[in-house]
Amino acid sequence: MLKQHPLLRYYLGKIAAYMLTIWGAFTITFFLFRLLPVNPIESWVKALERQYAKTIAAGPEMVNFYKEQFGLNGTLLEQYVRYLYNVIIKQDLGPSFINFPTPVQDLIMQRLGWTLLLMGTSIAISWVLGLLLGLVAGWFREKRWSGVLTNVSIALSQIPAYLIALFLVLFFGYQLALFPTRGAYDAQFTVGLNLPFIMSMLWHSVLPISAIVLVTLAAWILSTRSLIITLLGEDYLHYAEAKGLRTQNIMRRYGLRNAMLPQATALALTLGAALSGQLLVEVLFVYPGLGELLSRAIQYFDFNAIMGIILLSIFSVMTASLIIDLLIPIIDPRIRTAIQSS
Amino acid sequence: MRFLTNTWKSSGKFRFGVIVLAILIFIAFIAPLIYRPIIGDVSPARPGVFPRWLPASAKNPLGTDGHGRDILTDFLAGLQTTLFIGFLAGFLATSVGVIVGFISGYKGGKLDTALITFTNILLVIPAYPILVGLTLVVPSKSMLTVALIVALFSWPFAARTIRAQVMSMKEQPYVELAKVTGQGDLKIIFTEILPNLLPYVLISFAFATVGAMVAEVGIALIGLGASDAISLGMMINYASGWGAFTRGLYLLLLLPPAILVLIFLALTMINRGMEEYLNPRLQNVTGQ
Amino acid sequence: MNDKTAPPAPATHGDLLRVTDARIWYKTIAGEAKVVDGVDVTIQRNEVFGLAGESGCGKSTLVEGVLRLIKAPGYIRSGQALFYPKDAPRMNGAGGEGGLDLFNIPFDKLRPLRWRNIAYIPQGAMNSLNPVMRIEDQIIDAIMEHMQMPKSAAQAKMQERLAMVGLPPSVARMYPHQLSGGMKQRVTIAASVTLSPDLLVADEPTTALDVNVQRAILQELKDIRVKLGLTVVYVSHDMAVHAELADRMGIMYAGAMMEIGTTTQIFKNPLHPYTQGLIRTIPDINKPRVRVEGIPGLAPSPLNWPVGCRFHPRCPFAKEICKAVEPKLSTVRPDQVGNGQGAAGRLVACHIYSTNEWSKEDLAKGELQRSELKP
Repeated sequence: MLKQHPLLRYYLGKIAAYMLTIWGAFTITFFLFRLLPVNPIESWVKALERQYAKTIAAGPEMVNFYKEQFGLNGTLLEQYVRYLYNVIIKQDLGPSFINFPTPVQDLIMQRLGWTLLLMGTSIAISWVLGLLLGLVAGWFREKRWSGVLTNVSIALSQIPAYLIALFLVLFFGYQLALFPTRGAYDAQFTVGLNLPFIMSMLWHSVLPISAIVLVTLAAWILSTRSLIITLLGEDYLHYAEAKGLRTQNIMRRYGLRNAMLPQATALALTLGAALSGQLLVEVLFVYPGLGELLSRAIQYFDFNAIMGIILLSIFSVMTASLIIDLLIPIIDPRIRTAIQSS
Repeated sequence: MRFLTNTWKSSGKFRFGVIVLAILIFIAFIAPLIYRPIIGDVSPARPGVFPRWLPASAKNPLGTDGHGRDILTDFLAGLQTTLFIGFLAGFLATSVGVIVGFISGYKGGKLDTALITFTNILLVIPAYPILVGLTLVVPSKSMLTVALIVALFSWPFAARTIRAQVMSMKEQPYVELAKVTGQGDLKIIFTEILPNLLPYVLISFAFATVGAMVAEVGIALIGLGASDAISLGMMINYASGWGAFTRGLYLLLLLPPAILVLIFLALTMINRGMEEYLNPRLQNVTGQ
Repeated sequence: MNDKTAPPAPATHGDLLRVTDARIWYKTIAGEAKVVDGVDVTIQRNEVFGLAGESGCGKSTLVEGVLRLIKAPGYIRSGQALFYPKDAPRMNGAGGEGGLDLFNIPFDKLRPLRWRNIAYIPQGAMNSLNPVMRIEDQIIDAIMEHMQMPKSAAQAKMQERLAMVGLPPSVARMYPHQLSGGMKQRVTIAASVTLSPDLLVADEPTTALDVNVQRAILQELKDIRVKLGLTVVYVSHDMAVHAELADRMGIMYAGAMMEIGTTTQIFKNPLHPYTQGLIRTIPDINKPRVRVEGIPGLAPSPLNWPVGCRFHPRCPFAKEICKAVEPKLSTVRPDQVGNGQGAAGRLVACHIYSTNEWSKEDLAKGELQRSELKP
């Protein structure tokens, strides 16, 4: 039956690959962390003992109790099956270790908004700006300023955002003291929909967003520019010119519109990868997002928190790419035709 | 080789990158000649060789840092370490990536499906937390282990690039011709495919090296660098730990990231030069 | 001796486009490629002018130059292309006596002329439609650009033209990929003639289509041309197409015009040795099957055209003068044209007709050499 329905076969194949990849990535990460020669609970109990300078009599029982709490009892395989059962059937990611006994899903929900705010804003700004700048850079590629813009973008594109963030902190945070460099808002404001809080929040996000925008903008400019240059060789642009349309009109309706589909696809993938994208920038600005949480979780080997965040990140990357894979044959009939005739 | 000389001739970006990188590598090579007379026969990473925070003097041209180390030595040794770890990890990642990508692309079929699925799975896993986790637990954090850990998650990119190239090369008329005329797989690989693949291997290598350095700095930045060496990323971490922001230690604070940016820039320009040579459409003026 | 060049006739009422000494070059690493190198040609109102020649002779570049669609590294080196449109709105009556020099007109004055006065059916007509826009949007956007009319009128205009090429109204709502190659071609033709342009330039529009579709589309083009009274410049390497469509023809070779005449003149009595060669390459279905003979030798490179007559290395009649002096496109005397096909309006660039160097025997010998080449 599948032989006669190439489109159905395509969809089923994509969904199968989606599930397989999530499962594979989760499994590898799960065992990788559990196989690390560390014992977070014992070292925590030892640290407590050191702190109060006495032996806790019930030490071993305590360790076992907490092992059970965190799902670290039993063989690796038992742990694995139990974890999968809890996640899939009970939608429970387990308690966190660093914020015991807050369930990891609650912890993630507290942090997710901040990361989405930071990454969402940065990505939106750099995507829109990058598309427009890339369009003009590609269109007027003989112009001097286009060359300068391109070369600056090339130079910026491979520099990690955290280095840019470092420079921004130095100059705008410390040297000029223009912007705050720590946290997401000033503590004196109550969290909620009030103007002082929102202003403080925006004010705090200027530097981290700038750091992320600078490097990702460069990448969007370069990719859009090369898309446009490829388009410039197309007959329909030649013909649009012969129709005597205004250059602006041709750029917008014939150039940009054709570059939109690949760039929208790339945007979806970028959004999917946003959750774990700029972890170090969050750490550097002590921004209360998922990245900052993850980096603390790793230092204390908080397996549940680590796995929860990584699982969410894998899930969002894969779901974004699945949505793209499923939508593309619907949006672009040329691709649908290609699938059907394969 | 022809590819490299042609790229050199045609691309100013490539020349810039190669010259900057060559100068940095040269400095890294002669570094011991400069710092040995200052610190004697001990590891540059060893703390407490001098008193802390000495001002610049004839003996310590840039003074000493908060661990009692000569600052000039810090820079030179840091450059050495960063280049070493970057190139080593880049080399390891590219080697694995080329082998996997090549087998996958050339053999095709079920093997390809299995390999590319595995590659894609690795690409989805956020690498940085795992790198940090591994670095936290390895018993001896030498430059070599750091390079190995960093390489672990950077080969899939190379594998994907090489696979795509091999697959498109397989369809090229000259390869088809060789197959039709009954040449063996090995002969086709060595005479037809590998020579044409070289540019892409080099591009993958430069990319993997940048990626490895970015990852190394990322690890070092949170204080998890190699324990037997000092790298540029670790220097940034030390500098912020010493309160360099408030103490105004601008040299310590600014120079390591500046050198890093220079290395990234050089590698990026080399890469872009090669890419533009292979695909002239990327250049500013087409058809020249 | 008759080395008189074509007299620079005053702009008559019949001339629509007068191209003089057009040079369109490309900057390459190896030097200047002189793709179009000194072409003179005049297009008259209401004719179909066929521009013929092998690929690489510069015929497409010439018309792209007239349309000012040459892209870097190509550029218009020199020359004039005087255009006399009926009405040139937004031109302050500049379309009058002097004509508009399409090679030198500023872009903001050129843009309103495009499509409305000088339209184009491009070579890659199959790919000339924007894949992400509906057909109607691609035609209406251009109508609205050039005419002050309500959208409904533009819609009606478009439907009228689509019907003219035999397309159902539903095509307007479709995207290009939903159409067949022939339909896309018809859409492009309909789009290009929407505003009844003074001049329609068609550059090998049917090359990518199969023969039946080609024939049908050529027929439609002929009908439309009559209905709308268009002047057409039709570029094709295919002599058979010209025989069917063209009123007059120009034969290009190596960036220069070799011969101009009516289609009957060119086919019945080709004068230039190159034209003779071209005609001979057309297989005749009424005769027994013989191997079609190509013109011996290779086409020269635009980086380095032959000195003297550009065709001399391949010409069976070539003499010393051909290697030294480039012949000019000139009129011919009636006695040089045999069998009653008048010399009126004929132009040829060949020393045979402008000097007395060749005797009847020379010309016969040339024919002999040529036939010896046959296997």
